[in-house]
Amino acid sequence: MTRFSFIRDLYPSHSRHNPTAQHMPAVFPRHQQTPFQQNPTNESSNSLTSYNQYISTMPIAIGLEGSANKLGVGIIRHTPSQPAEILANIRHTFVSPPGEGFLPKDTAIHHRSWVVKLVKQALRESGVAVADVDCICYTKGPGMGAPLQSVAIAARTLALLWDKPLVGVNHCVGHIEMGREITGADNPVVLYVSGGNTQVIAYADQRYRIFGEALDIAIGNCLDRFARTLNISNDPAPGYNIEQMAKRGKHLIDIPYTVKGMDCSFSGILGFIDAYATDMLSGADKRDPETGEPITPEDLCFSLQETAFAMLVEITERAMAHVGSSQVLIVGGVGCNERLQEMMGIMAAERGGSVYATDERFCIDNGIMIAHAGLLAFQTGFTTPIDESTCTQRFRTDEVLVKWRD
Amino acid sequence: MPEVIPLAGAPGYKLHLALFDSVSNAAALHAQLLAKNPAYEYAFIDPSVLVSTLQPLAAAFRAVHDLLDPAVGLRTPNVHSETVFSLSPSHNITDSYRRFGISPSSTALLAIKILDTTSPTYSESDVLAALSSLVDGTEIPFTTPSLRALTDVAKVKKCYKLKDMYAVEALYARKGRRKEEGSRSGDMVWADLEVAVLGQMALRSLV
Amino acid sequence: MSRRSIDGTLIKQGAEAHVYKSTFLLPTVPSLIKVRPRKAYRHATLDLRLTKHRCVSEARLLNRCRTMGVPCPAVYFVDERNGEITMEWIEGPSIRELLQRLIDGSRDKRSEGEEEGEGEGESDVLSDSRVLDLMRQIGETVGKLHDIDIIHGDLTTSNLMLRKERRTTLETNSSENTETESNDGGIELLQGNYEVVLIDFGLGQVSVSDEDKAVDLYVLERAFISTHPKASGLFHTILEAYKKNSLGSGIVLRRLQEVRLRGRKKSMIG
Repeated sequence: MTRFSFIRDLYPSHSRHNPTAQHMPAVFPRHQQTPFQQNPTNESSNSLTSYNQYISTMPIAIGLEGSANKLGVGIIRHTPSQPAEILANIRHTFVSPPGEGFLPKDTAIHHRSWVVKLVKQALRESGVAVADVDCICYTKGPGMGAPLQSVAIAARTLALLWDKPLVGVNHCVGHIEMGREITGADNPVVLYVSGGNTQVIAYADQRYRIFGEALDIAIGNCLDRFARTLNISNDPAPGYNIEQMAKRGKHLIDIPYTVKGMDCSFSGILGFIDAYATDMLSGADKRDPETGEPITPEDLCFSLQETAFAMLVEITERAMAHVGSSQVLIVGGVGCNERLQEMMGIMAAERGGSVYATDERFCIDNGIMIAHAGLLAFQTGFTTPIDESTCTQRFRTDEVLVKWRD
Repeated sequence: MPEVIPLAGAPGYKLHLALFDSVSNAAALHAQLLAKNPAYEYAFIDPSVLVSTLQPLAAAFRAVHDLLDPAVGLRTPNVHSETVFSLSPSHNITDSYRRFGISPSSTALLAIKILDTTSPTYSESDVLAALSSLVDGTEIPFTTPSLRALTDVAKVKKCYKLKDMYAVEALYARKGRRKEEGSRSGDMVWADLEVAVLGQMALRSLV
Repeated sequence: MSRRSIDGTLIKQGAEAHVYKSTFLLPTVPSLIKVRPRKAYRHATLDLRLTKHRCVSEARLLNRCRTMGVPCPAVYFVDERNGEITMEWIEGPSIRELLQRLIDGSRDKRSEGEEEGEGEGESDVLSDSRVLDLMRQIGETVGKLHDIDIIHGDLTTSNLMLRKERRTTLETNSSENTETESNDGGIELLQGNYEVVLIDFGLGQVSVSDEDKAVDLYVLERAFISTHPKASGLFHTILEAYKKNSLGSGIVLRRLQEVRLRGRKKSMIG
C-alpha cells in the first residue's frame, strides 16, 4: 500500500452527493449579507423551503488540522448575524506511551492513516455534500513539519479532486477566531497556551499582535516533559493528568519564577523540577520545611501549576493594563486547565472584567477552528493557490493580515 | 527646650528628644544603660554619626513600625535600644550599640524617648522635665545644621559602608575622564550623604 | 491578612503596583510610596515570596544607583512584607510630558503664525540647542547606569524625569524652585541646571552583559519612536551622547545593531 493510496477513497462519487445543490461562490463579507428573513424579494410561499434555499447559499468550509499529535476535521457554515454552525468537529489523537513524547515521523504516519476516515466521517455527520463545500482549509503552520506536511498533502488532494479553492490558515489565528466565536468575547486580550506556543496577544490594526511570549519553551511543552519525568500517562493528555494530580497536592515548593515584563521563561522551571523529581524518584528524602511531611508527586504537580500559571496570569494582566482591556480569552490546549481558568478569572474580576474560555472541543487542536478562520479569510477573497499551498514550522501570529476585522 | 515630634505613620506615638553638647556625665549614663535601669530607658545616640534630623526619626520610625507589626517584632529589648539598632546598616546588634550609641567618653548626645501618648499615665511635661534633667550638658537646637556641626563624615562613611559613593565619577576618573569639578556644592554633598545613609538604613532589614 | 491602609493620595494604579504621593515622617518631606498589592490569584506563599523579592530587588537597585551617582529616587523606607517602598518624591515633568508640551507648544505657535507662511515650527523647537542638550543628558545618564552594570528593564520617556533643583536637606523646603513651571511650551525648564532622573526600577537587574545593555537601549529606542514619532530624529543625539560617555558603549552599540535586526521577533514552533 503506497503512501497516497487514500486518494482513491476521496472521489466525489464516493461521498454523498446532492446533484440539485448549487455551488454558490460566497464572497460576501460575513455579517453584511441581508438575512433571508428580511429579503423583500423572497416570494416563496413555503418558508421552510426558502430557508433551505437561503441557507444553501451560505458558505461552508471544511478544515483540516494536524500540526501536532491531534488530527482534526471540522465542517462549518457561516450565516450572517448568527453564530457559526458547527456541522462536524471530530478528532483522533496519536497517544504515545508514558515517558515518551510523540515523534514527528510516527505522528505523520498516524495522520496519514486516519485522515481519509475522518474526512468521510465528518462529511457523513454533517450531511453536507461535497458540492456544497466552498473551500478546503488547512493548517499552514506553525507546527511540526512532518505532520503538517501530511495534512497539507491531504488538503491539496481534496482541493484538486473536488475542484475547490484552498485556504492556508495560521494555527494560532484559528484558535483565536474560534475562541471569539464560541465565547462571544469581542476584543479580548488572548492568552494562547499550548504544547508549542505561549503568547499574549491583542488585536490592533488588522493584526493579532504579540505583546508577550515565552522566551524559550512553551508552557505545554514544559508540562508534557515534566509528565514524562514523573512517568505520568499521556492518555488522554499529560496536562490533564497533571491537573488531576495537582488537585491532591498540598505543599508548595519553591520553583524558579521568571517573568521579564510581558515575557516569561519556563526552561528554568523545567530544569529545576526535573532535577527535583529525579532526586525524589531515586529515593532522596524531600520534606516540606513547615510541616515535615514528605513531598509527593502530587505536590510537584501542584507547585508546578501554581507557579507556571501565576506567571501566565501576570504577563496577561500586564498586557491588559497596557492595552486597557478587561476581557481575557484563553485558547490552546493548556487553556482547558480549570485552575488556570480560575486564576485568570480572579485576576480579571479584580480588573472589573471577565475571563472567557472554551472546553476541550475547541481548546485542544481541532479542525473546526481551521475551517472557521479559513472561511473568514475566504469571504474576504483570500485563497491559497495550489502552487503556494506549502506549510511551515514557523509562522508568527502577527504575520497574518486580519482583513475580516475592522 | 526639648522637642516633641509626632511619629507620622504610627498614630499616638511621639518622640521626645533633646540634643546636648559639652556633656559631662556620659560615663554615668552609659553605666545605667548597661545596668538596664528602667529609669534610663532612652535612646542615647552619638551625634557624630548623624547627618540630619531625618536620620534619627527614620530609625525611631523603623523601631515603632517593627514593634507594631506582629509579623516582625523587635530584635532588641525595647523600642529605644531598637532605635539605636535601627540606625545600623547591619544586623549585628552589639556592633550597632557600639557605633551608634554613646560611649563613656561621649561629649555630645541625642536623647530620645518614644512613648504612646494615648496611654492614660502619659504626661508630656513630666517626660520633658525628665529628659532635660537627665543629661549634664548644654542643650542645643535639634536641627540639621547643628547636627552637621557635630558630624564626623569619615566615621559616617565607614559606619554606613559608603565607599561606593560617587562610584561612577571615580570610575570615569580612573579611565582618564575629566572630573566634573565644582559641579557639586558642599550642600549637595551633604544631601547625597543624607539619602545614602537613609538608604543603607532602609535596606538593613532586607535579607 | 489585612493590609495597613496607605496614608497618601493614589496617583497611579498599574498592573503591578499602586503609587501614592505622601510625606515621610515630617509634613515637609514629600515622598512617593510604591505598593505591590496582594494578588489573590496567586498562592499566598508564592505571593509573599514574589512581593518581598521584587520589593527588595527594586530598593537595592535604587540605592545602588543613587549612592554611586546615577540620579534616581532615594530609598527612605522599605516594608517588604507589605510590598511597600517609600522613596524620594521627584518634582518635575516626565520627559514624555515635556517633549509632548514642546511639540504641542510649537504647533500652536505655528498655527498662529500661519499667515506669515512659515511652516517649520516643529523642527525649530526640536533642533533647539537646549532640547539637544536634554537628549545628551539622557544619553549620559543611561550610559552611567550601564557603567555600574544596572539594567533598567523598562526605559521609556515616562520613566525619565526632569528635575530642576535638589534640596540640600530633605526636611526643609529650602530651595526656591517650587512650581516655577511656565505654560510656554516648557523650554524654559531647560534653561540652567537640571538633571535627568531615572524612575521605576521594577523590572531592573544587575548585569554586566552587553546584550542586556543593548536590549535596554533598544527598548528605549522603540518607546521613544513610538511615543514621539515627530521627535524620533532626536534619538540619535541620545545614542551619540551614550557613545561618547559610556565606557562600554562600543560593544553595546554594536550589539544594538544586531538586536535591531533581530527585533524581539522569535519564530514560534507550533
